[in-house]
Amino acid sequence: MIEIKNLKTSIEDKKILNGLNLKINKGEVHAIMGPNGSGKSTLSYALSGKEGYDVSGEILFKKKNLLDLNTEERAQSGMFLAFQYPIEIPGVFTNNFLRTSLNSIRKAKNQKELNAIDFLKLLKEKAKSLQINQEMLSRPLNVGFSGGEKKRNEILQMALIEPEFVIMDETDSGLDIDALKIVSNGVNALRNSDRSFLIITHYQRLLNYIKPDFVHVLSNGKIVESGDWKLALELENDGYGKYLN
Amino acid sequence: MDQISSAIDKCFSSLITDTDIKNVNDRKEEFNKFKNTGIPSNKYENWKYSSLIKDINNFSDLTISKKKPNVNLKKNLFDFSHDKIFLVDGILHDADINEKGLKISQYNNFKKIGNNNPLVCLNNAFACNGFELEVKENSKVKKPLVIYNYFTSQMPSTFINFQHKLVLNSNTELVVFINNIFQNNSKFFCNNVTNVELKDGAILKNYSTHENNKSSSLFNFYNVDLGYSSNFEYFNYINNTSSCRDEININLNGENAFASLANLQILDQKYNHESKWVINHNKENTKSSQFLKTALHDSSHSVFQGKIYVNSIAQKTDGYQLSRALLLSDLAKFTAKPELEIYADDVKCSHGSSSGSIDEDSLFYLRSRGIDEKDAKKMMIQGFLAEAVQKITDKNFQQLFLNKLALSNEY
Amino acid sequence: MTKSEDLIKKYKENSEYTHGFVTDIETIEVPKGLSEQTIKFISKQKQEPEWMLAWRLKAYERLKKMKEPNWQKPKYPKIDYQDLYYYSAPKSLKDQPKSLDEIDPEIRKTYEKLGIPLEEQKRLSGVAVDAVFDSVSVATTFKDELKKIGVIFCSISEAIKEHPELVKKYLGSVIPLTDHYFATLNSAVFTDGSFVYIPPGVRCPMELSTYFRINASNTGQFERTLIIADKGSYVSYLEGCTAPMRDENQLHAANVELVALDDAEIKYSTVQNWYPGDKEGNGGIYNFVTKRGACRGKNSKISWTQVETGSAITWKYPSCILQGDNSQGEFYSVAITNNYQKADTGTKMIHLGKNTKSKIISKGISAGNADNTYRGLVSIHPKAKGAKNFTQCDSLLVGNKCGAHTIPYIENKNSTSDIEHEATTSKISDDQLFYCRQRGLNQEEAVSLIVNGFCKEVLQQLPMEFAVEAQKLVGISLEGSVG
Repeated sequence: MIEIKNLKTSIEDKKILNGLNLKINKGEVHAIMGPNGSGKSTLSYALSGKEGYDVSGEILFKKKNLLDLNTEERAQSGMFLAFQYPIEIPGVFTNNFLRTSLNSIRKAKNQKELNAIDFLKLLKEKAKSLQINQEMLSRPLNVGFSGGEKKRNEILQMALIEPEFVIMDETDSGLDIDALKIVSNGVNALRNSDRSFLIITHYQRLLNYIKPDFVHVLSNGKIVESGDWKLALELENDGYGKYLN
Repeated sequence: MDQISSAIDKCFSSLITDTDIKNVNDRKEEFNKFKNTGIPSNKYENWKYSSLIKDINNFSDLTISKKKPNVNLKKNLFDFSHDKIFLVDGILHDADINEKGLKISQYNNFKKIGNNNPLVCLNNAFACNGFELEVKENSKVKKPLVIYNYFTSQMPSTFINFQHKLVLNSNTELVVFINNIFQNNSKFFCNNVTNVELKDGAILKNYSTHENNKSSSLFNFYNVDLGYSSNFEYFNYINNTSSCRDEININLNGENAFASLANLQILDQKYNHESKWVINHNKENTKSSQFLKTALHDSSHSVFQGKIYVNSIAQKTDGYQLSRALLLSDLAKFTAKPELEIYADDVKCSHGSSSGSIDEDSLFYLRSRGIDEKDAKKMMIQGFLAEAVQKITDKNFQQLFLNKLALSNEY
Repeated sequence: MTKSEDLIKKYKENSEYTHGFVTDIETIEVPKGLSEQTIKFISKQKQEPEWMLAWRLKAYERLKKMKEPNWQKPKYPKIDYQDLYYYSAPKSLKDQPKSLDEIDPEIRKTYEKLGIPLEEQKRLSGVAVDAVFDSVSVATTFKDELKKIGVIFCSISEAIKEHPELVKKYLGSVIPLTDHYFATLNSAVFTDGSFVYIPPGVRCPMELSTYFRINASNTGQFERTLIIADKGSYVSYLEGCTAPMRDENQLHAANVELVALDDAEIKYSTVQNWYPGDKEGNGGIYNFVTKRGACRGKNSKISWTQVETGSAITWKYPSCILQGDNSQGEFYSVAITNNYQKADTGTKMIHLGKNTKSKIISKGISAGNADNTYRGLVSIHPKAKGAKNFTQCDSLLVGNKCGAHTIPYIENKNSTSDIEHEATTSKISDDQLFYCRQRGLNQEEAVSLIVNGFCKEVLQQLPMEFAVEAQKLVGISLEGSVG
């Protein structure tokens, strides 16, 4: 699915990622854990093509070089980033945004764009399973949403778009246990042999609900240890201390 | 400057020699008041940022005519059920009114609007046309009233002066929609003064569009007096207009009176628009809201001067004001003077003003959902402007303007 | 009598001007009136070089063609410029004092009453004081210590004689001779003021301070201050002002110019407590001051902090011209007006350089019959790419006979810049007072606490030496005026 080779990033001459290598196959769920400042969010931005970062190295996504594509082209080719802090955009209505997004991606894939009625039907169905009500969807995008509502909205978008590769950036932050369950169920429902996930998290908690196939430790911009999900438990008990130096 | 002044003098001499003209002495008095200042220069505080006056000063000749041009009034009609008034090149042409509570008559007398603004004095001196509209007591008018205001391609005048009067008696309701239609690409100067009187419990919703005016200079002045528990709601959709100054003077004279003003603006080329709004809180427990959203392309220039005045007896005043501009080109300009003048202590007044470019994080968020940059920008500008439409309380008109915004290509 | 009237009355009894005493010493004065002769007299008294006199006369010629501005909100009776004295120096200072001990004991006593005993300060607080007494600098302490690290801190008169190359280069470079009526008047007749030069890379180790005081009656005070922070240097400058009670209005038209070169920072703080006039609005100072700083170098910074509680009319706009790329301007202001006081104050932030930033925090408090206006300009020019401004203007009204006004001018001519402006108006709510009193504070303590809280963002910008005095002033100025 995706292969990252010797990825280096810097912002305004400050080095953040320092030669990161990672390969994720179809259907695999990988978790990246690391202390604050290890470069976790930068990795998600570098993969999704946020401007302002100097990126070098190679990212092959479905055998295409990702670094040649801009943000929306990456999204259109099947990559999805669930934001740590979803952005509030006043005046842009959630349902209108969702439809525009979905149709942009469908168009890029040469699929037929959905008309308003079909889209609403689909939206209703997906929203229900995430316990998102209609009222929330007619509000401006993320404006006045609680932390939990924002994250559920991210998962809803994922469910609508049905991407092939999902990056989840600290999705559990700011969630209470009920919201965490809803979000995890939403993610687990989308797990299948064609879809891959990269879960970026500081705590092991989320991984109790979404069990990863592999766990990696990120420190000082590099992956310093890899293992199966038991590694996450170790980290929870021992902390990141031993990776910090 | 001298050119315009002699052109106006010439027009005035020909006007007062017309035998149909009434109240010649009052007009002369107002004309002299105007002459004290003339077309104001940027040195006057109230006109500091005005581009309109520069455009007016470019006129070397002005003409006024009573001729009615031929125009097909059946075109451009809205398909929802409504009453109609047709104004053609500054003259009340026709009206189609079925609602019982509405009474319309031709403007036929001199009704001075007391104001020191030189352009209002100028209007007082010249205005011979317009309409008077009265809503009878206890009439809640169901259908909206649409005013089709044509500026035709065969316009005989280059100097147009309207004066309208709207009176809503006690316990009445009316929705007015002013649809300005510009078919004219030649230069003209239109000076339009509207006097609104809202008696106790009257509700007036006043919506308007001002689009595709490519060449003319417009001065619009609203004076609104609000009585006890009355309500004035104003929304103006401005898109692609060459040169215009909208002045609104609100007097909240009765308790519980509320005025809400909102503007949505999209400007491009070298077009300029000024809004000068003054809200006078003269009684206790009055409320006002001012809201302006403007998207500026090319070398357009938008000016916002909004003022909240609170008299010392107007305790419990609630005054709100927000002006926001999106600068979408290196040459676009936004100037604002959001002013508070407050003499009562138990009040809640705030204003905010911001201007800047499109937020990069929001743009990234949209793009990461597969929306390409151009569409994402368009979406954000639309969303930014749509907040002004949310101020409209009439659901049908809110939808009408949202649709208009969605269809607009001017981003 | 209602509760609030009662409290207002109590306030009036309490807050008489405590700095209103007259120092009884002999002074030298020029005959009244503004003329070429007066200017020549001033220049001669001060033994100025020829170029300085020529500069003054050029300003005077210009002044003759100028008109007094009248766009401000507080109006005042016409000033008769021919009825003013333009020079007044304490006589015993004709032969400049060599040390603190030589200062007239009467003057020393005055300073002690003001709470700024020079020796005390010299010994304890480490503040170097350049005291301006009716226009002539009487003493400068710590001069020698500063000299060792290359800092020049002296009166402007001395600088004209000792450092003409610096004065010639920078005087009038921020506020040109032709700027506006009062600034030009000052350029023609200024008598004294402070001069500061911080050499490259030097961080001035102590707060520099000047206390102004208007003593002789009918004396216009026209000081002139010039501060230059050379590359990579830092200085914090404090200005305190007090004047005795007089029935007539006294004019104060000072000019303050600041120049910050590359990477330099100037912090300029003012606590102004001049005589505000009596409760009926008679007398008091007209404080018409021009203060302007130029962030001329890249990464430079100028920060103005002012606490204005005195004067009958305060009319000033400490401003920043942000020329250097990445330069920053700040303006923190508390203006309190009571009785018939009037203030029209604010700032101008002119963004010319790339990535320039400015921040404006203004707190206006109005009580009694007073009028308080914030007026400001934020202008972002087309070349100021990436410029940012944030403005917050808050007003607090006490009673319904006073006024609070906000008149910001915002000009954005650059699409890559951001301007945010916010303003609010509020009063001290009964709930807040009740809450405080329920916790055991009396009415006056509660008001002082709430108002100090309202002004906190500004007051915390002041250096320690001033913060305490300013906090007290804020409390005293409004005692008992809330019901």
